[in-house]
Order: sequence, then C-alpha cells, then structure tokens
Amino acid sequence: MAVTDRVTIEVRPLSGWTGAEIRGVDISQPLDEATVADIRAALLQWKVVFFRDQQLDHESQIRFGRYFGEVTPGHPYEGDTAPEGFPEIHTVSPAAYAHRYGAKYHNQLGVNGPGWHADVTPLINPPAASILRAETVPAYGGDTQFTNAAAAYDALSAPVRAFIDTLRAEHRFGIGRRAQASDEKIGDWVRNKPLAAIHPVVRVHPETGERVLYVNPSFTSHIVDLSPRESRHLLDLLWEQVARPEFTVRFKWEPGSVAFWDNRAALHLAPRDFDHVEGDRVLHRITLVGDVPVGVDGRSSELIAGEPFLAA
Amino acid sequence: MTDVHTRDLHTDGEAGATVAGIEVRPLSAFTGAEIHGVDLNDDLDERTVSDIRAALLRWKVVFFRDQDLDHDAQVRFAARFGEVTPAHPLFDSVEADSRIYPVDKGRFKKRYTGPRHDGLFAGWHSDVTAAVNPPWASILRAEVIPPYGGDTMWTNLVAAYEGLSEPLQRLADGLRGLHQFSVPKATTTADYDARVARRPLLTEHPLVRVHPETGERALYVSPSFLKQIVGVSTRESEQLLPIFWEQITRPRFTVRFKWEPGSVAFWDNRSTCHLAPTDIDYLDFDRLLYRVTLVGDVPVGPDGRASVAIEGDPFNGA
Repeated sequence: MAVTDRVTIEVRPLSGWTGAEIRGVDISQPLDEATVADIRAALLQWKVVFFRDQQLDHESQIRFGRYFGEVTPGHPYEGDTAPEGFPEIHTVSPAAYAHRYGAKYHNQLGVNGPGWHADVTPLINPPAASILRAETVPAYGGDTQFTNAAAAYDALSAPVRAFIDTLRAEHRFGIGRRAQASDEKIGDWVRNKPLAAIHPVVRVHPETGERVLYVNPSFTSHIVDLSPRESRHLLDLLWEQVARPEFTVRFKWEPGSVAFWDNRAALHLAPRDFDHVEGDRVLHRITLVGDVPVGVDGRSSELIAGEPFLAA
Repeated sequence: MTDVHTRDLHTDGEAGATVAGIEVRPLSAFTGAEIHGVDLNDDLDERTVSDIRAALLRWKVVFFRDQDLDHDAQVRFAARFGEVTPAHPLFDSVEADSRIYPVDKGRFKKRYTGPRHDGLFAGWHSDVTAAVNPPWASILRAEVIPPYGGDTMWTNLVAAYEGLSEPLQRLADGLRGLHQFSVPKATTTADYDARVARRPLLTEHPLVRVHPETGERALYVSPSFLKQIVGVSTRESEQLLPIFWEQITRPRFTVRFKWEPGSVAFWDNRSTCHLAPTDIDYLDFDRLLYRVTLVGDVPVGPDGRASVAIEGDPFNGA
C-alpha cells in the first residue's frame, strides 16, 4: 500500500444493491484527488452515497460539487427562486414547492403512483448527479428512498431486457392532465415553456458501461411506437420493477446529512409522510451537468422542447 | 368489394347437374361469415368444399343456418376437410359415436365445484391447445338452444396480431408459452383431476403461430390453456400475458353468434379463440351442441421452431 497522508474514507454499504455511507471525510474542506476519486468510485458502485454531520453552507456545497463536475443552475424552471447570490441552489421544502408549483398541485398522488424519479429527465441532458443537504428535518418522517436502476434492469428476464433495449420513451415535465390543466404556476410552465425529450428506455451509463432502466413514473409519458394501452402495460411493469424493495435503500435525514446520487443510475422517491408532523423540512440541492443519454444501439436522446442544461 | 362473394352457377362434371354456388355474408369487419346456399347433408362437390375452406381461411369462423345434421352427417361433412379426431383427449364422447363431443350445459358441473370463470380473460380459448397438435378446426352443431342466452363469441387472432404495435409484434414473435389444462385446484372435481392426471398434456407453443395455409401470423395465446411465458419471470409473465389477452379480446376483432337449433359453426382453430357463454348458468334452459374436431399439425413460430410436447401424445385420428 502506498504511503499517504490523506484521510482514507470508509465506505459502509447500507443495503445489498443501493447506498453507502461514507465516513472519515469533512466535505466542507478542500479534498485531495484520491479522496475525490474514492468518493466517485463509491458513488458509481452504490448509486447514492451519504455523509453525516457535515457543516455545509451554500458556498461550500457548491464547492464540493465542483470536484465532481460543473454545477448547473438550481432548476431549469426555478432560477428565480434560488437564494440571493446562489443561482445553483434549489431548495426543497413544502414552502418552496408550494411557491414553485402551486399549493394545490404539489400534494396529490399522480396517475403513475408513487413518484420515483431521476432529477429533471425531461431535459435533453439530465443532470449527471445531485447533491442534497439537509438543513432542517422533522423529528420523524420525511425519509428519502433510492433505488438502483442498473440492478433493476439486470433482474429483468433476458427476453424483456432484449425487448426494452430497443425502445425509446418520451419524458416531459408535467405529464399528467392535472399539470397540463393547472391554473397554478405549474400549468403555466408546462403549457408555455415545455420541457421534453425522447430518451432510450435503457441507457448505457457513460462511466460504468452498465445498462440502466431509464424511465421514471414522474416524467416518462409514454413509450414511443407503442399504442397508448401497450405503453401503459409496459410502463406499469417497469414501475413495479424499479420499486422492488430489494433494490432500494431508505435514508433517514438529520441536520447536516448529505446525499449524493448518480442521477443516471439511481431513482429516488420524495417522502409524503410528514405533512402532519411538526417541524419544517428544508433541504438544498445542487445538480451537476449531465451528458446526453445514449441507448444500447448507440442512438442518443432527442430534444423535443427546451434547451440543454449547462453550467450556471 | 369482395366482402359478399357469390359463386356463379357451375356445372358439376360428374352428374352434369347444375349446382348453386355458396353465398358468403360477413358478420363483422374481421371475423365470421354466414354461408348460405348449401345443405351440409348433401354430398358436396369439390368446388363447394374449396369455397367453404376459402371463406373459413378468410373469416376464421363460418356459420351455417337451418342444417339438419345427425352425428353421421356431421362427421361426414367434417371428413371432407380433414381427418376427424376422437371426441376429446380427456372427456367422454356421446355413447353412440366416439368422435362426437357433447357440449352440454351440465358438463362444467362435473369438472368444477366452484365458479368456473374467474378473471377478465378466463374462458377464451382455442380448442385443446394443451396438445402438441391442437385440432386445426372444430365443427359445432346446435341441437337444443335456449330461447335467449348462450351466444358464443369468436375472435380473429391474425387481426389481433396485426393490431399490435410493431415493437410488441417483435416481442411476441420471440416468445413461447406453456399450454395445459387447468391445474387441478380446490374448485375442480375429483373426476376432473383424475382425467387430467390420466392424460397429462403440457406443450410449449410459440406465442405467434405462422398459419400453415395462409402464412399469416396469429397471436397464439389461448387464455384458458396458456399458463406461463417461457424464459421470463413468473411475475413478468403475469404482466405480459394480459397485454396479449386484452388484445385478442378487443371487441373490434370479435363476432357474437346467436345459435338456433340447426346452426353450425366451423372455425379455424389455428387463428381463432372463442368464448363459451356463461350467461346460461343463470338460466333454467337446457343447451346442447355437438362438436367434431379435425387433426391438426404441430404449430410453428416465426423463427421456424415447432411446438414441443413436454408431456402427452399428439391428439391424432380416431
């Protein structure tokens, strides 16, 4: 073993497929290349890594993100709601969501059931990764779940894998009639500033070469070239697959917790269980610029509406 | 327009007699035609036989009204189109003729103790697809028919296949499934279980069958018999089969036939499924029909692979 003065990180897996806690590093401080490489390796293997008891503010969260890529604006729709001086920050809280989408909109279960998703897949180049830090969390409730979309793909039978390898699907911001018809801000966005792209149903991960199931119930409207009814059946099959408990991990937040996920290979599910629980829940997210997905056949995603999501 | 096809009068070479051609009246856009102008008791000439066969291949099921067939005449008519099988691989024939299978209202009481249909697609089937060579055709004649209730429905499996999207067609093209009589379970009678045990029949058929006469592809997914898609997980099979079953039972591909005494239905069992009625269970009326089936060949998929018998012998001639 090479002699080094760096702090060696400790990677503690949290489930069979998904998630690991990383210990032994203060991510508010400058990191050496080896530590960055170790964190990246853990991220690629476990799809999401967690840090506890970190002392990040907006500035140091963005600085940490830059070790792993270029940082995007907070959200393609929501730059105006970012904190003063930090356009990269996207705040996740009931108040922020109500402000952004409209209070009536944000708290209903969609037509596809629980809203597993990767962040902003309606973009032609969805973010490669997201880094979310907890500022305030309730005493209980509000856990986030993550699932491993490569493991979910691998566990499909060979005939089903071969079939979906050839398919492509449309992703759109506001896929439901409710969003399209909304008289709140969300309706304005999806009607007047649509974001949509066609992505392969199976994406080849640009770093690991793994095949990942690249559809999600929050943004995937339909599989192209199938009848609407066939698409509904197939997507239901795939939703069930990505949500199988064996591929998931459930993370309990504390103030100072940080989750860093590979947005190309993990889906996550925002909690809906804490509305009645006392105490606010405020987290801050940044995302890293992603590349354009490529399918098994080498074909890239196609832009329908919107622009590439580049560095802030 | 060839939907209504009337054959010209022609001269029967042997007898020199003039014979009227058949008239084919389609009953729906995809499925079923009534054939008029022929008495099935007659000794049919070759041209009539080939015209009936052509209508059958096109419309998948053809119907005749007001026929006066007995068991012998039904078998004789059937034999003009192929080799007649025994009545059924599992169940009894009528006493008088080992090739005649009675379709009587009481038959399900001997097989099931509980409700016989549970599920959206239950009851739809092609005949005896548990066999490696299901009969290629079935001919069913009505003897006793209730004043109302008891209609039978057919669906066109070629139209159903062609109505799938191209990606789903490709998926189906590569799949195969296991066909079997219902696995004995709590609701079956001891007699039924004994019959299934005495002649176990389990066959792997392609999900898409290339029709040996027309070359058409048929979605070969007989819901009552098809238990599991091969090579996918049990759950995936549970999720995929309803896609195909829903497709074949879409109303646009079906026809519904109201029986009268003397009605005869003749279906291509390679390209149709049919649904025996259950509404008569709630009526006091009797219902009795007689079926004859014709020896079928072994199905072949788009990849050229034939069906494989996992258990049981072919269902061959009487």
